[in-house]
Amino acid sequence: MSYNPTANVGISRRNLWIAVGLVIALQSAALIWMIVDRVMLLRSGKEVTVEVVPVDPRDIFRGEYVVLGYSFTGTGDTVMPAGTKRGDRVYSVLRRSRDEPKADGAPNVDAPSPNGGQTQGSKWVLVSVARSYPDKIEPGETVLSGIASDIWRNAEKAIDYGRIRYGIETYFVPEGKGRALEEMVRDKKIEAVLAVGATGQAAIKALMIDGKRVHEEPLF
Amino acid sequence: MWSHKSRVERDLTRWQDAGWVTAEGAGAIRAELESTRGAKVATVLSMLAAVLLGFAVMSFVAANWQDMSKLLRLASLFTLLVGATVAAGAFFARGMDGAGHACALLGSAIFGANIMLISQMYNMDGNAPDAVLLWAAGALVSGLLLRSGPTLALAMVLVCFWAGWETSQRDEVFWPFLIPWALVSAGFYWLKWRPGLHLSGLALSGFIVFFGFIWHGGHHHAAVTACGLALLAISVLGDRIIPALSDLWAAVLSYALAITYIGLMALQYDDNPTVTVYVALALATLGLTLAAVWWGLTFNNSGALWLGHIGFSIEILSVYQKTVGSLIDTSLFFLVASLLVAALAFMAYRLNERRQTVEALS
Repeated sequence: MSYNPTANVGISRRNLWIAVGLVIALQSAALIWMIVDRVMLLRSGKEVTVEVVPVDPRDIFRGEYVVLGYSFTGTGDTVMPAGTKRGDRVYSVLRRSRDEPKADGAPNVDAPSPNGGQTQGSKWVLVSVARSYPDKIEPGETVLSGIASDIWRNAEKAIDYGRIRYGIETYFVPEGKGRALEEMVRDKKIEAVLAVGATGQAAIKALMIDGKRVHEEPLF
Repeated sequence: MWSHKSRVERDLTRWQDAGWVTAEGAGAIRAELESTRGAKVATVLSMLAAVLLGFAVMSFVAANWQDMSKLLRLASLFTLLVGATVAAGAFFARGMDGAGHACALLGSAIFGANIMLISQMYNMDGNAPDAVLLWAAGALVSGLLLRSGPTLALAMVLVCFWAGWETSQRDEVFWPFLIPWALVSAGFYWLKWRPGLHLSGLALSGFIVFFGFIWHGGHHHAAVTACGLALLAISVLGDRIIPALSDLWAAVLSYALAITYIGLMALQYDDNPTVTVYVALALATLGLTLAAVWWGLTFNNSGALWLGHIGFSIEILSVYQKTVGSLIDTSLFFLVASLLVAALAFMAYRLNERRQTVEALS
């Protein structure tokens, strides 16, 4: 094997331009697929409003964002299905909290009313966690898919506990508005509007402050 | 490069004196060397220019990012991607391969930046290593299609980053690493790009070493050492059976030495062996490093030679640290160490003597 510092040998000019075209097409296709997949979810996913609870922000290489926590995220004390490992995909069944009087379970109606107020409660509790998408869901329940993290085992009770990440824990905001939003998360004034897809994947569609939608990103 | 030039100059003078090369021949060789050097300067400068231009365009986009609509942002990202790749094609078509590789690499870097910016724009906060894998796949496709070794090198680095991230999320050996590793390595082999193959060797060695620390809770360094020894045997046998690939076997030998050495070191210092086992391991390690030095000198393998020297020094220092004031007396330790080094010096002296005899005879 001879040393070949530039390696680009024996490619004809015509093939070179075909190769350039293919690289552009394939890389662009990957990016477009990313966008289309997300836009489809935001457009056609079931809209669910959830209450946001405060957490400390930390991330390494991204721009300005807020870190969002949810009542159903738990503090690492979520009971996981037996044998769940860190990094496994899990499905959480959520139900509207019972202390919300209007939670009658009618699906897909928890959008804000015309006057901007909430017609439905936005506090959700975790009912159960499964390794596969549940076959049967009660009316008013929502399934979110997430990734198990921080699994620890209580040997005495033989129960695995853990935390679940749903991919809706950070939200990017326009420059300079991050701090103000974070303050509001801390004061429990924020709700997140999620788009939930057929397999439980969730995306943040908008943030709501005092029942009014703010920072709804345009699709394009 | 400089050392190569001066060596050729020295050799040319010698060959000319011996009458093997005519004065015209020597002049022609010098002129040829000079012209390739000029081409190298042009290549390096055009690569730098391409990188600078890329940075200029990217910082322009970054500066105006906030004021752009989402559609305009997406359009800029795609324009950058297309621009860099077309520039790579244009440079390759004109035979300016250095600049072509720089632009191909830049194109794949932009592809990665686009993945990150799109996930930020759309608040995608899923499994982050998936994004790194997608990036690696893009770089792999570009490296293979444009036949760009440096772009494939980016793919290999990203594959390692992806595997490291996945491993950190699950506390177990991440076997899927081997699939993209093999794909990128096959690409390096296909391009006959030696630096890339070294990158593959380094990545796989890292995987094997980490295996010892992660597999079933760690402390499986004996398996790592065995793996290193097996690779050593393969490289030695391979050189006998298929001597045409001697460069490959020499490289495998270096990585196998490094794996075996790290395995032995981990057995001594990550595990907590009994004194007897520790002494046996330390002796085995020193034996390995001495063997590496001998091998390096005998078969002109500078990799083995360096690994042997460095490994020997580190092991001696480690033994000193561990045993000082406890296992054996410091002075006794120094006596042993000095005897070992003296043995090494004697061996080197004898080898040199033999080589000089052989040279004198021929």
